[in-house]
Amino acid sequence: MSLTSPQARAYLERLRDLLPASEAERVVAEVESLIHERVEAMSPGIPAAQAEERALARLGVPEALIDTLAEQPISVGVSARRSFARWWCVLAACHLLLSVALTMAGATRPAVPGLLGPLAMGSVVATLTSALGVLLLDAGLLFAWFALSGGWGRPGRLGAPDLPRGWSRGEAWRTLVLLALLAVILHPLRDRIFAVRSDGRSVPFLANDLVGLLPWLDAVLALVALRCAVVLAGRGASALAHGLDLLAGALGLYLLVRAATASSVVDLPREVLGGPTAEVLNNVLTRVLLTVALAMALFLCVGLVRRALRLKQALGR
Amino acid sequence: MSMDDRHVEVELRRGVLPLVTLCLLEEPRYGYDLIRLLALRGFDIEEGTLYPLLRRLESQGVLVAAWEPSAARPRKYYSLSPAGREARASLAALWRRVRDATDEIVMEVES
Repeated sequence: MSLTSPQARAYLERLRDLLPASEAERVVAEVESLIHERVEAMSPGIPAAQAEERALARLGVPEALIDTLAEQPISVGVSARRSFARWWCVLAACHLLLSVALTMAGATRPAVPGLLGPLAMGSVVATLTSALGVLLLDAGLLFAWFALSGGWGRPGRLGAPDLPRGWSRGEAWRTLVLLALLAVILHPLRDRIFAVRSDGRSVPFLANDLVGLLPWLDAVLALVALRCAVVLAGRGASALAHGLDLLAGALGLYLLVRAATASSVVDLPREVLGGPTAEVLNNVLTRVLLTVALAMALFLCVGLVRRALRLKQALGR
Repeated sequence: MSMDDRHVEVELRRGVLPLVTLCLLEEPRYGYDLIRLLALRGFDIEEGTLYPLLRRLESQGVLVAAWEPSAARPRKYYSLSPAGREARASLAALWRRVRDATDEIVMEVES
């Protein structure tokens, strides 16, 4: 019999999330057993969910329990260290991505002096050193934040970011339907949807550079579809599903960078719209698409870090 | 000086908890069974306190633990290892020394 209440399942999931992968399964099994033992000892008249809630109250919050599991007296709690490490991964990934974007955009000055600027491209050593500088800067900033607002512990509002959980079968089916819809839009309907109509004729406006990236996008969609298939085969939280998701995310990020650096993304027909109008619309659409691509790249970057951490956890089980 | 009696009692009990736990583990017991026995002897502790202690004692080799599959659901049973018996004897001797020294001082004042 497994635990029934969502609170109990969330509690165990949080424990698993906070613990090092090598210890997580063992501790979770032991804590689950303790909860069962306490629930079994309660009056049979108490609803299971309520009994589990009372048992959880006797264990204390997951973060406090984790900290008391440390072998040696510590000055920095385990949950604070894991929270720090995870935030550092997320912060550094976003910072590096922005720096790379600035470098690709040809920026020569820092966007925020001392904090954000293009990477040095003079030599490989210079590039690596400036990337390392980004990592150290983020570690320092985060450390200052923790020390100022959390003492030696974890700042109240800065828990370790949750890692993505497994996928449900319903979610997998919904994603497959969405993928099928996207595939139809991208292939049979592409030239009808992304087109300018005039005098009864339809002229596509996506630039060839962008259309050339479609096979890559197909590969991303195929990887996501494969992940859904793995979930539907009953392996929702397996390392394989997380690995496929990570691969899809990485490929998606590469695709976005390629799209953002393409020489042109839209090519509105001048003969239909007229020269000046087409030029203005080209500029506007290009800027909108680049902004969307950058925002998506940021989300993907954070998602990639979380997926990589989850994969590491799944592999450690 | 005002003292929070309850807080002092909790601290005192926490200090002797490892010794008391080792004494109650003369025969193998699972977590809740141990909590129940401790409560009967006046040590009303919670799982969140006992579990880290059991884990620490296990990792130090003082306790050995094994999952018992014969119950309706597997339970983890803890028992003393040979090193645990030595640790218990050592802790018991330490406890007697502290208790005697404390008694001596308290009785001097009270007499």
